[in-house]
Amino acid sequence: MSDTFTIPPEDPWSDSDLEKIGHLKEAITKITAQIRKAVVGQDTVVRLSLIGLFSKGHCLLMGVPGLGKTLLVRTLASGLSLKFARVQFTPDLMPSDITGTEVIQEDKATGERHFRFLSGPIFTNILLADEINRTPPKTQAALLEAMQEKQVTVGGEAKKLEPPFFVMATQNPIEQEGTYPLPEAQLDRFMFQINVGYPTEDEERKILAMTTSGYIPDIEPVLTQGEILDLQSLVRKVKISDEVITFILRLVRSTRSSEKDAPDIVQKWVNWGASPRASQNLVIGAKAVAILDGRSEVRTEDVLEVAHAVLGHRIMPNFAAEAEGITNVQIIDELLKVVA
Amino acid sequence: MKQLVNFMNLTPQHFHDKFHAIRHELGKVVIGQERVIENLLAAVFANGHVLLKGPPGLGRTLLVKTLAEVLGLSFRRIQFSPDLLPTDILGTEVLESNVSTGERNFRFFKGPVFANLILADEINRSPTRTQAALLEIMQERQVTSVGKTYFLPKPFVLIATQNTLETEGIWNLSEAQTDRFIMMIEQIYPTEQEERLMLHATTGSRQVSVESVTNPEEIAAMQALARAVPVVPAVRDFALAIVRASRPGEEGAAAEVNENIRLGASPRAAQALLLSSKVLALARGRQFVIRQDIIDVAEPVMSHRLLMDLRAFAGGKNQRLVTKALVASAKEGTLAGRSRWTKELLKV
Repeated sequence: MSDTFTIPPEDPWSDSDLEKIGHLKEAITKITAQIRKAVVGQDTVVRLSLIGLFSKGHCLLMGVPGLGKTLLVRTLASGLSLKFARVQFTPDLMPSDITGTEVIQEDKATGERHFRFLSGPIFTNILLADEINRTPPKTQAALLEAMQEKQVTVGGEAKKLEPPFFVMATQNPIEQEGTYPLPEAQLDRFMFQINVGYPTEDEERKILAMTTSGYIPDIEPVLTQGEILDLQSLVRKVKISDEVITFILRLVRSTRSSEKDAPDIVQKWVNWGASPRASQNLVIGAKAVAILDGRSEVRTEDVLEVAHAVLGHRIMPNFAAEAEGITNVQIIDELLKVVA
Repeated sequence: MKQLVNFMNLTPQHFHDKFHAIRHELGKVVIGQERVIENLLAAVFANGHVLLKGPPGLGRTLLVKTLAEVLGLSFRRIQFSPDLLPTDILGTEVLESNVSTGERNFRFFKGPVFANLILADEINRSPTRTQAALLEIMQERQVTSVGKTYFLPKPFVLIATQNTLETEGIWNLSEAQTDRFIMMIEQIYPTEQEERLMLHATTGSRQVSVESVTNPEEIAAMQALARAVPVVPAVRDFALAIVRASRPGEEGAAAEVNENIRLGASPRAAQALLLSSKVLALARGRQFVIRQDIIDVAEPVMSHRLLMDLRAFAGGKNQRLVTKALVASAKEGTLAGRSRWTKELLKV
């Protein structure tokens, strides 16, 4: 099969494409400035979220409550002039609460009754799925399916979601009662897992000053919906050399303990490694990094920037590693050294 | 060789061409996985259901969705979860009232199972009651609700996946249930070359589209044609010998089996071996089954039907190794006492 399979060559870049990239770099600086008006610190979180958006991926934000995750996502949405909806996941949330329901409506004139579809909060551009692990699996599955298919099926009829469709889900990492953590196979559907940490003392001081005064940040939209769609398709045209692809393949393949030449630390500590979806996401993520920096070709540094976010939730350490206190972050850092 | 009976003017040559056209179209989107695709098609044309096993992220949904597109079949994916109920799959009765007469009656709303090709994702995450509902329709190909029977579309093929990662809250299918699947096909990680090709193909701006090359009626005819492929007694006995050798304590059990296997394969296994090897024979341009066809389907057909002894597992034995031993012992067993002519035929 592989000998008959040929990859169609990419179209060359046009001047208008290059112009769009130039415009994007400017826009990113502006958006970051806008977000800084409302959110203190969290620079990597903001940058990874933007990379995720332009890669058409979805992000999972991990962090304890009260770190301003919702504020961050809402500010991002208004900086991009996109529609925004937030769903608080609760133990009694049903799939139809997200996707929408069919309701019976009576036509007063004829007395006839028929079903009408009331669309749920998922019909938006940016969806904040807050505390996704508090809801039972069937409801989680409804969201994950919509994320993948970019459509929902209600009453046997498929309804398309309007692009861009970007989900930012948050998950509380602390084991609490009444939570349903996402299984590994479901985590794999998120392009990035972004860890949100506590602010530094200076940042926290600034947050206090900003949020306890009369200051109300005024966010201006920077990019339009059409521009975002254009840029999303441009990301896929970014060039990537064979050396970088080889680097990505070696990195991802080194996480699989079933491979014969996996490094010792993987053989010893890792139960389950990263899937081919991880390599795809590394390529696309790196392409988005390149385009955000105004370049049309990927460098190895671009891959490094997204490596933790792509691989962090796709490597499952074994019990021995957990007992020794070895984390995914350490394993990935070690692998990056081995592979580089 | 006498020409087989015609089915809707479908000749073995047609079958062969269609089979390879399907493989070609699938190969445009699914990179590598040739054995997986061949076995999957063998199961579909043998009118069986499939268990697909492997780590997440290998493009299972893509594979099955593309298969449906190429075959011209309707497709639905059902994600199984611990709170999924039988009615979420089959459908529900809804109370409706007729305004003009004031009468009220129930109407059946068909569930997602009413499609030609179903991907039942992570079937072992659902409780046994929901699994049982699904397994029943696999067999009966119909749904009964409040005394009324609704038939599933033809062909009806179910491809189920199991979550193989160690996780809490899973209900693994029992042996009696896995026995209903004609094959268990295992997906493995791609080779480096395949993964490289896949990266190039999926992260660029070009979109590949597939064409549908057949339709439900034609598939039904192809299934009927495959069933009509003749099998000579010597080859049939070979299939039987593999299955009989898998039963510990029975006469003819392989030496390997008595030590490693707690429960062997059922008569269903022998049926599955023959039905799926008939498809392979047609796909390989023959109108009769040879031993190699049976050997090629032995692993996916047999491995989920062998219940391993735990000690054997711990000792590094697995179903694949045992199946190899079964095939080897059947090769010897069926050769003994045969005429020279038959021996020659078996070697084909």
